[in-house]
Amino acid sequence: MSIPSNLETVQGTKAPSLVQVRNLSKDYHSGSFPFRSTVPAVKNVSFDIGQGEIVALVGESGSGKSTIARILARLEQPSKGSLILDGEDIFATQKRKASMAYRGKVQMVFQDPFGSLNPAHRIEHFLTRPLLLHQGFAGTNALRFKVRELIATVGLDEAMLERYPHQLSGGQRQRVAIARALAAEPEIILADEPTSMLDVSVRIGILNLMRRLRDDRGVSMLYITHDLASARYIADKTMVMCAGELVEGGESLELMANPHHPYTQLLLSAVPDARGANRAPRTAGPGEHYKSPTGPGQRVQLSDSHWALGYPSAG
Amino acid sequence: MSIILQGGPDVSARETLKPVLSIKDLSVSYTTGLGTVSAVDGVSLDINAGEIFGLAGESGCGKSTIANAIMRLLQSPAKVTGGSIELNQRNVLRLSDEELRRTRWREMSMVFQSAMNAMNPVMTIGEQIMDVFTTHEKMPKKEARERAAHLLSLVDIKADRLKSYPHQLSGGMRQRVVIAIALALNPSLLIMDEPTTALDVVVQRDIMAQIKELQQSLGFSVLFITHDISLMVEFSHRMAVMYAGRLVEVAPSNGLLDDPLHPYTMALMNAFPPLSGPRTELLGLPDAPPSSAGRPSGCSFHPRCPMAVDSCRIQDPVLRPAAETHDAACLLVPEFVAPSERRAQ
Repeated sequence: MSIPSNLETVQGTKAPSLVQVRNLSKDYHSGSFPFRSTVPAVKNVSFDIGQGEIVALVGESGSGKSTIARILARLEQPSKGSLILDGEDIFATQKRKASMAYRGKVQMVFQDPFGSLNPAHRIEHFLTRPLLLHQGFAGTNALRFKVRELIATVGLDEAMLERYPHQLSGGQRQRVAIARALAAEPEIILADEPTSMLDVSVRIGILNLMRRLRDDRGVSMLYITHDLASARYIADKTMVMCAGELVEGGESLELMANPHHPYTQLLLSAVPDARGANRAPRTAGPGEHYKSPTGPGQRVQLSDSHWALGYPSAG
Repeated sequence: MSIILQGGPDVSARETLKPVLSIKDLSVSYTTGLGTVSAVDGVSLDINAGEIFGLAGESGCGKSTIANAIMRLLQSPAKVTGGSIELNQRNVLRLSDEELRRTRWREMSMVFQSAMNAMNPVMTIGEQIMDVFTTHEKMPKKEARERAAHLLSLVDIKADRLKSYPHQLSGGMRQRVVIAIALALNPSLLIMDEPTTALDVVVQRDIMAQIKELQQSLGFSVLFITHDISLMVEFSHRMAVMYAGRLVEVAPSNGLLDDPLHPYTMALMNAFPPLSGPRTELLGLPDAPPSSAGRPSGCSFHPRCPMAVDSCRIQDPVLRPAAETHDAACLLVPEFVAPSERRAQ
């Protein structure tokens, strides 16, 4: 393994990286000759996600964060780069069996809980199907037991299994979507803006659930959001994305207390914060060590768990 | 805190000012096949001249219904079942169609959440702005074009954009254009229903700052509706929190921030994790499924309220003063008695 990894768990032991994304790029093409144009959605992105780690990917709409999620979910093929899960390069093999196995290990929770559950099926169906498909459950009793266990895990009542999606609130539906993802016993859950369509008072409940699942089951998560405060709340590490590039990354609390890249600073200053007066003063802007020999486009390691992309200085 | 109130109306003068908008006991219900559903239930509020009044609440609480009722945009099956809405001392609900047509835009205008849907995709921005002047003011085209260019400059958009179509502008620019159109005839009340929800935070910050600037220079009042309570606290002078069709708390924004009284307001305040300080566990509210049975008995918030006591299940709290400028509808909040009345007792 030539790639250095800075992932350390709280205990101080090195956690093996579950997911390694290396030099990932994705271009979208549109039009046809001679008006063909290429839009780079993701540019040369590399990051790791450790076992049992919650990593947040924040950025504005159009920054490419959802494209990364779609590539990780294998809904999109990258233009360049590699994705390594459990030591296996996913895009190197095209075999159906490997693809099925991958999908069992990586599950997704989508933004819209109203659109992601088929309205014609009862809740029980959504949990039974992944168990049959990925877990090879056959015995009805074992299956029923597992379904009840799943629904309890996400904090819903057994009676919900009999209901249809329209009889549930948005938060409850999102919990069902999480239970469905868990049914496949995934190693990592990709959550693409899982709370942005929910009412504010129930968002925290979903975030707490995600964190509890990580604590209890050791599931890793990639949490994609535009909400920096929620990233700070649940994610161990945060990566900031701007125009297809990762511009800054690091341990969440450290990154938000001490943002270095101008884009991160801009994002943070724009978040409505009613208690802004109490906001901790920024300890430093881009410091001297930041104007390091590495030029724009090069990562600058600011501390063990914090880096930022170099940018052209104003002067 | 002074920053928040900067440019706001003088609090001492508030008593003598006639409010721009005065809503009394407004009730709106929707008639469905399964019976009537009350969307707004006895809401009263006043908005003073030059005031930014925030209305916060979650989806389905009735905040947009109030906005649409003020603009008289409610359509069947929604129906105003009681109360009055006075805009500049005239009851909007009693206006004839012709009077209403004159009132809209001149006295009140509205900015909707989705600017893309609010604009005509096959007309240029310029034509759409000029439309306001030519129809409402019977203005000659040349003058209308000059006014349109001036309006765009107010929201920092160059005049050459007049020839652009809506799809050629970014989301933030489109929302600016919609705001410019809403302000075209200098209304005394601007209603903004989730104006920045579809936008990114950086754009949201710019637009809100711009609205505040325009509000201070032009002096209109704003009814600002959002679910984002932290944005509202920062932006509005006074605000109301709405739950299940009723106002549960009304107070100056900084008062609400420092000392929320209603458990629902506290929960909303707690729903946004802080950007600084230690990471502590926040507790959200239990989820409430949509109910076809209508509102719960007693206080409609009691099934989700972490502080509910037995009487909350039976007694329906009314909005009453909890401090001098602070009203709350909660049985656990003691009623405020003004010092003068206390002496009289």
